[in-house]
Amino acid sequence: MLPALVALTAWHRAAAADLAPLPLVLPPPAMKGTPQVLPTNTTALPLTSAPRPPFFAPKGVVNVARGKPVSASATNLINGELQQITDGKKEAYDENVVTLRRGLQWVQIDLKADFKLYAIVLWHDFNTPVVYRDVIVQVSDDPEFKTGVQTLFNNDQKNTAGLGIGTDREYFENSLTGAGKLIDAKGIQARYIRCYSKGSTESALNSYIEIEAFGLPAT
Amino acid sequence: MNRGLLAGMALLLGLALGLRTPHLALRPLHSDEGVNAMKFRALYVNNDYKYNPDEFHGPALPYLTLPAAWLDGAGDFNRFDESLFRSVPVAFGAGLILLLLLAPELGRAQRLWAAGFTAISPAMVFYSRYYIHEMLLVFFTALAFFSFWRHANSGRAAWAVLGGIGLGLMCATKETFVFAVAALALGTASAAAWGRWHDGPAQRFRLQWKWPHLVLALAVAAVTAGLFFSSFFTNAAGPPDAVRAYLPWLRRAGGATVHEHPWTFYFQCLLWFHVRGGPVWSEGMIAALAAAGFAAALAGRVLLWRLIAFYTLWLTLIYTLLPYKTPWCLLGFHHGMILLAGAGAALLWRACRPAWLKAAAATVLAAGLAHLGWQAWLGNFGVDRGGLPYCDSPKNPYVYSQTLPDALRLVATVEGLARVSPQKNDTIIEVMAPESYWPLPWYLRRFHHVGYWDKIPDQPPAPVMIVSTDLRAAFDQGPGRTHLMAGYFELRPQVFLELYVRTNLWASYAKTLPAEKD
Repeated sequence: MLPALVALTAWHRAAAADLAPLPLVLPPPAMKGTPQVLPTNTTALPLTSAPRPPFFAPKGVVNVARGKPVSASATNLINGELQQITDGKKEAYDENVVTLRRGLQWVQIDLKADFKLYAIVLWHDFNTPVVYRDVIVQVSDDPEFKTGVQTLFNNDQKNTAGLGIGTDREYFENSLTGAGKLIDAKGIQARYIRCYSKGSTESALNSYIEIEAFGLPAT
Repeated sequence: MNRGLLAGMALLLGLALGLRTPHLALRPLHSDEGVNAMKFRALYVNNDYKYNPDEFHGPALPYLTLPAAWLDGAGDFNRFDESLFRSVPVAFGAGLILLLLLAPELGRAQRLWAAGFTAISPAMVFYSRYYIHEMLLVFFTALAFFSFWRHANSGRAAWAVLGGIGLGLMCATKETFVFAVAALALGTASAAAWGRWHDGPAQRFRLQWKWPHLVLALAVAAVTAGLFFSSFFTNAAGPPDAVRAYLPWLRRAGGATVHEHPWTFYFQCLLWFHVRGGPVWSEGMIAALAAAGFAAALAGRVLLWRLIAFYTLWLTLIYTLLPYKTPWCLLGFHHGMILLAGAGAALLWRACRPAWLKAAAATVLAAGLAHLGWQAWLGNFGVDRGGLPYCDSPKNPYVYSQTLPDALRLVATVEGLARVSPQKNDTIIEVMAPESYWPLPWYLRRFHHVGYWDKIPDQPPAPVMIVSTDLRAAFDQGPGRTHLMAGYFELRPQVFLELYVRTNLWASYAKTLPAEKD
């Protein structure tokens, strides 16, 4: 009852502020039921099949990352091609998975123009409920990420990436809902999005299925 | 006294100590052990022990820990470790073997067998390494039992006095001593009735009870218990509290707690315990030989054996019928079973006359002893397939709501944070858990500002906060994001704690961590 009331209140406030629920289309869940053994050496909240509360953004936002060029810290991929990360195919099928090598790796999307970003949603390989380590999401107007870098999410608590101590929690790739990780970008203006990770509780490799960025043109 | 017996007893005492003394700090303190250690702190550091009739059992344990602390030489409570505390039940657990010397009527072979079973019984070994009251209660019960028996045989006042001391210490150890006394009374009556029925009215055991000595024994018991309960004349409320204590404990015994278990509980622990992925645990050999010893005691003419047999039977019955059950409570009647198993083993050995039968009996007994010894070793020093020591693992029948090694990881993290904090051990730590947070107070004893709550307190967040997941604190989502959630730690099976740390403190700490490999 209470969550419904909270959602209703948020809905009313959003309507008053000219906001609307993010036009996010979720892929189908990867599996049903909770696996018996979940990783415990994590700061992630427990895995849940409950739907995420609606996220409100200005009316008219779209996925501005769709079809945009992707680069990465390493070009010798284990699996897939970088362009698949923005191709809109986000079902947890093996053919949709792009796998980078072990260790700290990043992928970067060039939005080809400045956008006001309100939400970034990323799906690592969510076929099983794993936790990716040292997930950092940054935006910048510099393709080298040397200037104008803003960190939107960072759960690298031990600063292994050297980008600063992360205060965010880890999270499960939600195979039960396919919800992906939604990061509030708070309307920040940027052209480039860079996402780091350093393996997962299941593997030292870094796998992505899709990254979406919801925003409006900056001008 | 027979040299062979003494040599055998010395050997078995060595075996008992060999199984009980190594790596005493291996297992994290159970919450009850943590409570007992901190009760000792009140006595040792502040000389401020007061008996609490609602909780924590009797004063004998903290007072009898004092010699261990004096012998330790560290002199500083904060430098004591788990080994010091556990050395106390080790002494009493192994001391049970020596008490057998008080009862020559039991027979030489019988006592040697009983000493052997005491030395290697997995339950006896495990709980001899457990800083709780139970092993002391078993010891003082045996002391009182054998002393009163010696008095009944000799009529000498000294034995009555020693029996009185034993009885007083039983009372000062744990409230459940009343069950042992009740079992002894019922066992004596049963043995008398059995004697009349089985032996006929003409057969009488010649005992030399002297009523003045028994009155003296009761007076000594009252004085002994009174000394402890009054904290050696410093707490006048202690002795009356010792009487008032039985109301809450009776409620507990009636089953109004989480420790309510079916009547089969103790038998599952002792006879057949198996959790998937673990071995089968069984002290079935002791139980089987105890059954034989029981039959032999009833059929035989040694009154002491009959008393032990009926006492064990009644005590088993009492603990079985009580809904309140914790696995260490089985020690009282299990010790009786071990004594009877000594009689059973000796009987089996004697009964097997032909050489081939003796060889077969020797093989069976040796295999059984080896199995018991292996279980005793595995339960304390072995590691299960998942890498968890069996002394922490729910696959061990004697592990009960045990603190997990993860708790030590939490403590190590908090200590690491204090090292980098400008406040060092003055760093403020808040612990919040609606269920028991023990034994954390023991592990955080070196910190000077630790607060404990059963809910989230209405005050500014501390630099370090340890919070039960049940409280859904989400301090890392608060305004300003001043804290981060540094990890979950499993205090006991399915009891999780979150560690929240002020971000700047964590940043300093993170710099001290070793670099991670890719």
